[in-house]
Amino acid sequence: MKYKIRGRWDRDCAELGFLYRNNEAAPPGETDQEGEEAKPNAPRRQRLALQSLKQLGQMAPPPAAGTDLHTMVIIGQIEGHMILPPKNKTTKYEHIIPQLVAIEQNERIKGLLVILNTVGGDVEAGLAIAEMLESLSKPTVSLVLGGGHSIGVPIAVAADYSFIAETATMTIHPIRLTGMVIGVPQTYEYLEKMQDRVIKFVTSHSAITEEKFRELMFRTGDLVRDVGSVLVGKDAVSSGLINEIGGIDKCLRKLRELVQQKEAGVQTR
Amino acid sequence: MLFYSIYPLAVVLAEEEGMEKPEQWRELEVEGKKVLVTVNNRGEQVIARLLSTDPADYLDPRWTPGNVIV
Repeated sequence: MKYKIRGRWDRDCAELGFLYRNNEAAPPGETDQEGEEAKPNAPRRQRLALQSLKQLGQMAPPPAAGTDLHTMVIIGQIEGHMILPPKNKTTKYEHIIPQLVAIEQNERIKGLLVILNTVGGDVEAGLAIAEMLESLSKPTVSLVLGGGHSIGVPIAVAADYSFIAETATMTIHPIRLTGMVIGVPQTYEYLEKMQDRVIKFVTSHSAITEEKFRELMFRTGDLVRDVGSVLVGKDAVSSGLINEIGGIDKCLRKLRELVQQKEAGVQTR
Repeated sequence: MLFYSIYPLAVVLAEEEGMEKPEQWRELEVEGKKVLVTVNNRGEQVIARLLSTDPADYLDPRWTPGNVIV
């Protein structure tokens, strides 16, 4: 047998002796030639990849039912205008935005679950994702797992309904100055303007008041040698930032409920 | 660019010393699915991440991270 894609799972299956066919035994319709003819314009690399998948002769699992709820995982740094060094785990703007456009257009997709575990990142990219989520016509539910810090906060509140795991945290702090700016009053004003964009978005999409959010953002004594505050699970809910404490079961139940409401013509916002 | 993260920008942008070669990420489309692959020392393309919003795709064992393409 000739495998071109290898993995632990393959070996397990080979040992069990199922799901695999010999390359020779493959029906004529599944030969490599066929794959090439089917996509004559496909780039060479893709053709090669297709070939290897064909040679594998592995059966794809049957299309699972109930995939009308899609999910989007936002992890690590949110990457926008600048490619970060490879040691950073990033969620790229250019991956997320087209996916959101596709979700909006695909009639089969009824709702979207956004799972956040992010340390923050590019302000513009983060706000762009938040605005896209907010303007999505399909019901959205967000879940903060682990952490939803800094620019992750507007993304979490952009969904129609937000959840946070009991152990998850959200850090709210001012946008920091870095060594790349000049120390003039205008810089401070610019920074304040950027900060206001974040504050406005968060306060208009959650139950938290602007006063409360600013108080959390500029609080002293909560973070070590820094200004800001950390909200753990229920603190995020009690401050009005997040709707509810919950996990995957509650998220999907809520999303189903929102989908049903939307189908019944009830306004969800 | 304005950065709003709990990690200081200096930490995010610092190139790690002692790292021989940064991992090369490549985006590839295989059978209509977008995957991020890394190249291992034998020159093979190893699936690192599947980029899909359909949760059912993640149940398809072909896209398991660690699998080798071509």
